[in-house]
Amino acid sequence: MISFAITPEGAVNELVQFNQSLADGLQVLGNIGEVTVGASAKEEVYREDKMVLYHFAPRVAKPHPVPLLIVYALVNRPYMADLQEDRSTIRTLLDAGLDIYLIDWGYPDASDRFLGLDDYINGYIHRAVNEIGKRHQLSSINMLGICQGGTFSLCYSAMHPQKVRALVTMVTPIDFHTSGNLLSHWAQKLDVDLLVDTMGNISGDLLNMTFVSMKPFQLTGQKYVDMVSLMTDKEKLTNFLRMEKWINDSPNQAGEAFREFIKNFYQRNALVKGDLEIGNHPVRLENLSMPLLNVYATEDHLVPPDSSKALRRFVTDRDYTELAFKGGHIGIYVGSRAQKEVPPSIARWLREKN
Amino acid sequence: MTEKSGLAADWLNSWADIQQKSWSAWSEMARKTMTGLPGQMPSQMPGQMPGQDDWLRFWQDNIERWNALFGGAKGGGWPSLDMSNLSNPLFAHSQNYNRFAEVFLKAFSGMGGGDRDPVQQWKDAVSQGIEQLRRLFTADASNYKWGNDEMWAIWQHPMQSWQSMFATPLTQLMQWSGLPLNAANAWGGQASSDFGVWERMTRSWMEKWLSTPPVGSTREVQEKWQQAGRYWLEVQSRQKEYNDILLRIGLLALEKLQQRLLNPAEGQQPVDSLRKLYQLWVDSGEEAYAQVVTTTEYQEANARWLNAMMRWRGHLQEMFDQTLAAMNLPNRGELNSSHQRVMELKRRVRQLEAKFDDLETGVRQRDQSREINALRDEMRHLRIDVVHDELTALKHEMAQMRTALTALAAGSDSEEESEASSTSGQVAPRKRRPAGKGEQP
Repeated sequence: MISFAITPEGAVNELVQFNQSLADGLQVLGNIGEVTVGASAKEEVYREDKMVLYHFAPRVAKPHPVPLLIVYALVNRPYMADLQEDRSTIRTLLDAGLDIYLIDWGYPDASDRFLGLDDYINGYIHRAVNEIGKRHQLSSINMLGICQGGTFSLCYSAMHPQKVRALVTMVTPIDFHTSGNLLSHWAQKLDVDLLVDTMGNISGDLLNMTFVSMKPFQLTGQKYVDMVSLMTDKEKLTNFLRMEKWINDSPNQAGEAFREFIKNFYQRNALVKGDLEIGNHPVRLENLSMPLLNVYATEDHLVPPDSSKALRRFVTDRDYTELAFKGGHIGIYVGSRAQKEVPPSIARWLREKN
Repeated sequence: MTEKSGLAADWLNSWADIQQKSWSAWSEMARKTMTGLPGQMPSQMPGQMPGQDDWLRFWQDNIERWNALFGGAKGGGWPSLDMSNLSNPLFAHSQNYNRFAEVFLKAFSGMGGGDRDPVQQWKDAVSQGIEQLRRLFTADASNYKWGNDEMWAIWQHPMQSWQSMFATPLTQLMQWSGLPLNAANAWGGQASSDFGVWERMTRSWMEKWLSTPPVGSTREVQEKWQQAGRYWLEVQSRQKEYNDILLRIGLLALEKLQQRLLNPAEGQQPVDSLRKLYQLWVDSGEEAYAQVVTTTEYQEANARWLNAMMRWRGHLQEMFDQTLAAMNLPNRGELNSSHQRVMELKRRVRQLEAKFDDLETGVRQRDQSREINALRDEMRHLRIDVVHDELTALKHEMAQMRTALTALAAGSDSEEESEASSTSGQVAPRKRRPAGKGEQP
């Protein structure tokens, strides 16, 4: 059987069209100017070292009385959740009446090389929670953790359950040894002590390279060939460049925190084994006493759904809800369908639990 | 307009001009050569192109010009600008796509003529295209050097990241060392069996040098350089292992592509465009990649390569630190110690702040509880019967005052009313004035 139907004329036309699009697109690219990110107004309310706590301007007259703190991953930048007006999880949550704070970890440099997970979780996050509590005269607030930030939020909530009223985790790795977890597979034989002792902070470019290496044909080849076909459309090209900026805007990782994260989570899988300690605090998922909403993406290639869904094993008798989104790790924040499905569900759930 | 943007604009204009001329000419030629073609079966197989040698030459010529514009192969006088920092991946992958298409178009250009079985012709053409890609891939891989424009761009991005992290500072250090090694070539990753004459001589020389015990007053330093050499050789071997796996993935991807073209799966859409053909290759590539990188073999090879690089870099860094210390210059180790001490101090300060906050809260709570206790004591000492009598007396007094005030207010109203009726002959409605400060209501 022959499944081939390319004609010489069609092939010629296609190549002419491709190269013409590239030529025209380069003109558009040359005039597109600076790519901006971030859609919602926010103000800095607390700062410590390179960590900044932002408060987003509410978009309703009377926002929900219990504020929501968003904890993003150390990898990449948090503006993914507020990329542009029509692709902003944060904006949709604000429109739903939530009062939102966000931790921005900044860009660690050599002076931050010795920051460990205890500094991040029992230090920065804890003090951010206290600061918000003081501003609202509350002893506990709501929390939403994204990806690695979700893992941090879980650890924090397990160590300080009295500080978190309700917890939402999004595309969060919990069991790091489920099948199909390629990052975990690669990390097992890595001498992470040697890596951190040699490199100090871990380069964001190295992490990017690792993420891209998970699907190299699609993420380094096909992506740019696809880009040619949208280059003549200024809006589409701008959206593409915005994502491109986010993907490549990768802060370096504080060496000690990276060492602890790889060893304790990826290599030892200590969170689900129940023998994780951060600082002098034991981290036990069984201590999660607050209502939990676990949001995962069914086609997530970075955090396999099974890794996220493992949480249900530890909270069998608790108020636990799962929300599955049919999409990938990034699409859950920027996809147009995601905007309609995910943030409204989170807002509804939070209102029910408060 | 800045000089840089002016340059880019000129480049774009030249490029667009070339494009227009090239593709107009190409389209015109294609139109002419295709006129009068005998009826073919476009939905099943591509037709033969009359004058194919002409268009192949033309195609080749244009591709070369493209390459020249992208800063690649020599273009024979065509303008070229290094846009690598502007849009490198875009150009690299666009070029790749053109190249991919070129390979298949060449392979299919010979089809459609003679009395040969069309299906067999199709199979031969697919095999020819795959073989050509295989040759390109293996040729590139065996000449694999960092930043080589001929390398398939799929692997380029990750490799460049590694290069930027390791090669640049180490190249300088290797030059300082006086070793007959070019650090850039260290990233070639060839094992001794694949080395050229020069590389084999270098490796052979190195192995001898590394196995010779150093003597004399500089023996310690020599020993460190020997260790660096051993680590360097290890990096070479480990990278060769890793590159071999990448090559295997590339070839496996081609096998899968061939399989998909010759034995399409049930329900597979016919490939009716170059884009679909390219997509099929991408899918085949991802499948092959996933098949290999999930194995223990890849996991170990990847870790061995990374760990070898770290050992090498770590060792050189240590030597570099010692050199700087000898020159009384600050080095990484000293900076790390300072950063660590500062971090420890910060932690202690934060602990103290937290304790201070706790104490402050405790004192506040203690003060509040003291006040509460005092009030409680006062309450305890109060006699209820006395309080009751006092309250009753107060109530009585208030009732008397209320009566007196009511009487007073009634008398005042009647006086005002009589005054008003005597002046205007009308009864004016009385507006109540709120009591002023210090006034009795």
